Amino acid sequence: MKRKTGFLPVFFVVAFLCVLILVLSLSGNLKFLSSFLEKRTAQIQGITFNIFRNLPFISGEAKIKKLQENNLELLSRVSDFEKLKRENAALSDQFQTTYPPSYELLKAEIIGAPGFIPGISLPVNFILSKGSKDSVKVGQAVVVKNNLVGKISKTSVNLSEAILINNSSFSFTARTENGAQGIIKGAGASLTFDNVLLSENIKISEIVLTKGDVNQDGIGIPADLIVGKIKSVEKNPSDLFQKAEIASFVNFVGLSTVFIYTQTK
Amino acid sequence: MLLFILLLLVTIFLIGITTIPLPIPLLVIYAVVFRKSWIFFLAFGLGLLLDLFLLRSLGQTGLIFILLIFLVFLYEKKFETQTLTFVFFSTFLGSFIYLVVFGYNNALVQSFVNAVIGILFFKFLWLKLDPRSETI
Repeated sequence: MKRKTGFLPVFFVVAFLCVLILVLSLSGNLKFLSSFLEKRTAQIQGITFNIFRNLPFISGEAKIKKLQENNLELLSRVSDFEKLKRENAALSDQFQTTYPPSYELLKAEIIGAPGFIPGISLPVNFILSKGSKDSVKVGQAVVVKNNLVGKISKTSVNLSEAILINNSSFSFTARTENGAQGIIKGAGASLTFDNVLLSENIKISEIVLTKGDVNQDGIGIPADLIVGKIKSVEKNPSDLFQKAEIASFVNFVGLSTVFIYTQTK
Repeated sequence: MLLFILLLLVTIFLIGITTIPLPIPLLVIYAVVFRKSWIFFLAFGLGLLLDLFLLRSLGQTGLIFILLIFLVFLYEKKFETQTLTFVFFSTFLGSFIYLVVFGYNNALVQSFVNAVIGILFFKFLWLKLDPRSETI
């Protein structure tokens, strides 16, 4: 092998090119180019992710998948029931209804899962096939059959990135079926339901729902989406709060399609 | 050359799926085996591709990659770089810095996995190029 000499000029040229592209990209002058290139690369990414997802040791058994789908369907009904109950209560208490805002759901294919190593870690982010041209905005909720999956953290023209509820940098307010409120924080394989008052009664197997955190533009996490089920409760009389471990019903590894709450009417 | 293209294609195929920065072992190996300036352009291209896949501002990943290659070229004057130890440590450190800069979880585990992949790539490529070599 020959000894390498004179690599400095090439290094400086390529480094200059990188810095130039970075500056142009940060100032928003490369949107057209990145949009054009994204369309092509998204196709490759989608194909590779689908092949990968369908590998037998990744996708799991079809029967289990079917059962998980049925479970999600039933849980969606529980969530709808909760919503109806609240509407009813509003009607009888105030003789008027405050209609919950309705949303448009945008179907998006998962084309990438950064941070996912089979057997070692779970996906904590998804790259989705819809972007700002499809009205996707940062902060919008991502769901599967009334189950909260995550929220949009980044968008480009053709693609978007969703941060999942099990991501440690994601937290939001939630409540149990009995009304105990707290904060959900991602903790890898499970979720933590923290900051719940000691006076509140939370039980194992209780369903946890989102409390709702939507801004004036209608962007955010709507109320009554299913977060998961309480697996264990940690209650210490000397602490200020109690906390619980939550298991999500969503199998993040097996997901191929999700829905984005794009608009409040 | 066919092997080189094959490894490159496998890397491109896989980088859209996981965050393990597979271009790092590939670039380190090409840098220590081929020792040519065109690896900077390859680093730039792979960085651009990764930026597109992961919705980053274009150019930032490429910048990290070319700095890594620059360091590998600098150290080849001081150390014997065509060894498993060098490939392991440079891939591990390169991956760790990359994962920490971009704020990924499990940076240590992912860096270790990447370093092991790097060794396997290197052994595979090295055996094909120079089967009599006893350096590794």
